[in-house]
Amino acid sequence: MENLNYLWIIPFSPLIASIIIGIFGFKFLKEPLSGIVAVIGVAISAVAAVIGFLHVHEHGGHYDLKLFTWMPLGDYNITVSLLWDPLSALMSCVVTVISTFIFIFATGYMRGEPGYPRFFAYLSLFVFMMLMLTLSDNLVQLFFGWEGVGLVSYLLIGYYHNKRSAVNAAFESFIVNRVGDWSFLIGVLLAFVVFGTLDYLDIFAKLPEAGYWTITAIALLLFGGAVGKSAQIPLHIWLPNAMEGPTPVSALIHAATMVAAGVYMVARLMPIFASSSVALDTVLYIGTASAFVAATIGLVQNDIKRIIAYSTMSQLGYMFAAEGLGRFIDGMFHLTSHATFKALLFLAAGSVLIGVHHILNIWKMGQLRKYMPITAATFLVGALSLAGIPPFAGFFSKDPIIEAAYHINWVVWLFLWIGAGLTAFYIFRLYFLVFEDGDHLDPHIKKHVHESPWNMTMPLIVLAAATTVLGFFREFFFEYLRPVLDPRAMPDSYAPEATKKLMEEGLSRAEHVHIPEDAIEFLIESLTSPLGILTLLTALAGIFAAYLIYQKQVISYKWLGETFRPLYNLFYNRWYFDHFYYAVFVRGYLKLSKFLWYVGDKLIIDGIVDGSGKLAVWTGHKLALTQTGRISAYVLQMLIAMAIFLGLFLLIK
Amino acid sequence: MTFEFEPASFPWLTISILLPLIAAAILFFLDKKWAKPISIVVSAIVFAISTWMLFAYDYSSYKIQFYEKYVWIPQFGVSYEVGVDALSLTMYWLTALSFLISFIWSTNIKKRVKEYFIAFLVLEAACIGVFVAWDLVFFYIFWEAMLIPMFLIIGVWGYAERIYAATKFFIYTFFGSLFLLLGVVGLYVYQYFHYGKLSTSYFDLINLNLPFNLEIIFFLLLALGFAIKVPMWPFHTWLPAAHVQAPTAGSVILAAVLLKMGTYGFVRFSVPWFPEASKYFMPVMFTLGVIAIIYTAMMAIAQTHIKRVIAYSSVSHMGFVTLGTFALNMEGMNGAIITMISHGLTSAALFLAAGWIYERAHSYEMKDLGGMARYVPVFATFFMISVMASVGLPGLSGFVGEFLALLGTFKQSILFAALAGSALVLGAAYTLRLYHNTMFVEDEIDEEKKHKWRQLKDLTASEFLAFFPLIVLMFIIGIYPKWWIDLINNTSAAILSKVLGG
Repeated sequence: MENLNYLWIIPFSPLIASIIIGIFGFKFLKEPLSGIVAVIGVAISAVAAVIGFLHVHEHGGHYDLKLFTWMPLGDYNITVSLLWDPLSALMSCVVTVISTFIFIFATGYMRGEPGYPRFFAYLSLFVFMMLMLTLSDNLVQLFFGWEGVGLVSYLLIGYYHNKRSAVNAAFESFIVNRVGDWSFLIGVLLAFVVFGTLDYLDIFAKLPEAGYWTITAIALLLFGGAVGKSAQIPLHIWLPNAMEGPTPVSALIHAATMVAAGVYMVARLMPIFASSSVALDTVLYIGTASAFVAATIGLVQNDIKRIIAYSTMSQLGYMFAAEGLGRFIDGMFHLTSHATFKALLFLAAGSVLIGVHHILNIWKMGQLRKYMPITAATFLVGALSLAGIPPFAGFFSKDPIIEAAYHINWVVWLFLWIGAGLTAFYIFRLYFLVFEDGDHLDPHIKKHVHESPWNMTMPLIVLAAATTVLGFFREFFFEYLRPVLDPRAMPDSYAPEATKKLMEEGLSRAEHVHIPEDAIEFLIESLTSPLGILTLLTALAGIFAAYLIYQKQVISYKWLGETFRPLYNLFYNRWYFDHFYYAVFVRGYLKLSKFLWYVGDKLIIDGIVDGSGKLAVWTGHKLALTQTGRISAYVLQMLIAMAIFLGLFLLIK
Repeated sequence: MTFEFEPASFPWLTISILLPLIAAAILFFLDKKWAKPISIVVSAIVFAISTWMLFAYDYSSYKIQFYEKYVWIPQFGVSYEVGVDALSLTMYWLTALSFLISFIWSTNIKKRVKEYFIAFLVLEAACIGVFVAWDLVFFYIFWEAMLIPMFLIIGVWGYAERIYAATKFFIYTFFGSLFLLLGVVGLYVYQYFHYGKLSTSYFDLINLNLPFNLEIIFFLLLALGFAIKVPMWPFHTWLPAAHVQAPTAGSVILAAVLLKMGTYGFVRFSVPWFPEASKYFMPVMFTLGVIAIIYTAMMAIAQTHIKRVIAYSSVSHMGFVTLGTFALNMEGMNGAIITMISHGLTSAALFLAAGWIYERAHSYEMKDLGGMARYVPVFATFFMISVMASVGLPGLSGFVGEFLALLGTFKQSILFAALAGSALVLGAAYTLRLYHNTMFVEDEIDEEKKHKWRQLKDLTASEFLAFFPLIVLMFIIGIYPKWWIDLINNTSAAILSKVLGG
């Protein structure tokens, strides 16, 4: 085995940057040095990750670098380690490379913000946490990263902590994520009790020792964490509100990387999930439902960032659906391509926001293509990719999922297929209203609108270029990920024969599906087979409908809204999830707590405590009355007492 | 059960108890300007001794170390007997640390300065004594002795309703102590009748081999005493009252040290002395632990007084210690001890933060606070780290203990572990609410307050000196818990040996 010790640089380089900025940022580095330190920190780790990625490509295999023992647990040691294999290498590259460009963008976006060093300290810390999550070889370190990214996400959503809305959104994200983490942690405990270890590879090896329902329970509990982190129904409500954070945060954390952690986790633990068809079905249905529901909500929102946020939730649903269909590599490929084009969409939106001075309502924009040509063009690339138009990455990563669903479960296919049409519609509704359309922009602002500086447009161009070519690497991805996500190609050191047999339980559902892995072949098939044409036409129809309604205004959107009032209300009010949660879990919980405090602590417990105190005092006072100081009274008391005792004595006798 | 001892080459523990007492006595005759420097120096020496011991302690052995014994009343079998195992040692160390920090922090005492420091010095001696004494007479003397200075600290240097709170504290705990005394005396008498032996030594009383029904009775007697001290639900209402009224340093000691005496009692006495009763009462203790976690989390979110929030959070955290202790397995026991240490750090830090806020804003009510973060970045950062450690974020100290305690509980009962896990959500809810309402949402405070906040000074040198070690320790325990687990592992095994050995 070659020396891969340099891999420690990958997570720790951003951490060091974060510490440097945290300590020296406010007094010495300030702006722009803090940003530059952060960019250097993450760029170093990106370079190391790419080198390591290529190393795995050439030599294959798994490298497990144990850094130190975190905690001994009987015979088992929880370690801090770096597991470097195709899956973690790919994810690390996605995280670090996209982070690098978002960091560069952020040096422009955050210009002049008072908390500039704080922002970059947090952002670097985020990359560290995300990489600890990615590179972990056991469930506890995964949980460390998992909660760590949650913390930074919380801090960055609440970045503008003077605003009540930002603080509430941050609070909501932390709490909702913690609900998922609760489930996740119980899953970790169950796994430890069952397997006596928390290292992935040891768990995979011992899988056949556990019963079907035990594995299912572990998988479902762990998936509960993914539901929270990746904003799937029913723990999705935090993600749209998370858009209170600065836009680079939305791009990096709430689109490209952190929210995809759930998808990554399921792929990472694929042998566990694939061993239980019940678990896979749960992943499939939750993913599909989220993909569909989020797409419907995205149709009618007016906030530019929230639309993209619902789109993120929807696309994460597609990834989970792919995994639930037993097509894990498709899921990871869509994760990669989505990370690229969704980061692009968010950054372009950020560029727009800088241009229009942070107006978020898309009905107050328009014509921006004239003033911001690069932003508009790159956004268009992202939108086409999201809609699934070839040759952009989204087409090669999303359409195979929809087609696979058709062969496996037609109900799922139906929802994913409709969802794809809706996706194309809502993103182009956004595009037309913001960049084309009439003239809704405030004239005062209009005077100042101009294209963003180079450090913001450069990342846009790079990401747009990546979005354009990434899809053609489809076959490369399949070859690369096969040793970790395809039982037939897995080495025995990763999962022994018995485990592979177990996985057939879940994966057999996808056995008869044959979708070309080569990009060109897939493109040709899509253009020739009825199913492929149907999918493609649906996307085009979505775009065309948006064009007719919002650009040509042949169909009146007002009329549409009136005609489908109940549906519109349902979508606009986000299927009433938020209303319900706030009524029951927020107001209800607070009311119950207050009630319990008054009744339980104050009335009952303190009533008894203070009451017994008062009783003692009261008895004392009453008894004091007998101490009159008159001899005759004392004699009387004495006589009475003697009579009583005498009586008692005689009675007993 | 037999014990082995490693006699101390120098009476370090006795010195640690006597030094504060001697200092208190000397202070009595000196001018008040000497009070603070002397207190700091003395507590620093004690802390240095305890830290040195932490490293000098041989954790691979099962011996009671730094052991000293002097016969006192041989007719009744009473000796002065001190020594440490890892549990005593860590609690002793935590006590020394908390007092040092309290002394450094106590700059703003206006009235009766000398008496204030004398009370704290006496309290320190008593607290250390509780954790290192192995003779039950001395244990009980220290246990009771600690009540008086604490009663005075709340009653004299507290806020408006200090008399009510101090009385409540005193009567509550004294009530519990009586049952504890009754239990200990009962055991002593039993020992005389069955073995014809008179000894108040822990190492003799542990070997009584009580019949089951007596075990139950004695367990209940001692448990009542400990449960009030912890405090466990439903004996907890003295704690919020006491914390709300106590001065900052008093709250720090109350949370970091005094609460640990109750859990220390459970771990040190209840489990090894009454193994069968412990097993028998496991479901009861689990239920009480889970109620403490969930119910007091709800209490905490219903509060607007920031010290009361932290006080209730303490009860909630102690629920994990209860769970871990009565899981009666290694993970649980280690988790209970680590949670005790970690809670000592986090609650101390949170009460320092609350006191800091009060000194600046002159209010503990959330409605008078908010929007400070931008003006005091260093304090805001320390406060945030403490909050995160308190809610059990991995990488900080809180997670280690809670994880182990949950794991231990899970091995006994999936249901109770799952219920206790709700603290992940509920704890985060009230703790973050506390932080938000004091530090964030600047837009909602009025101009006058903003003006006031702008004048605020960030942590002063002495405040920094008190706060910073706590933060560092939260990280140390969170990042490298192995060292601490190694330290306490054999002690946990020894404590559980009777329960597990059957």
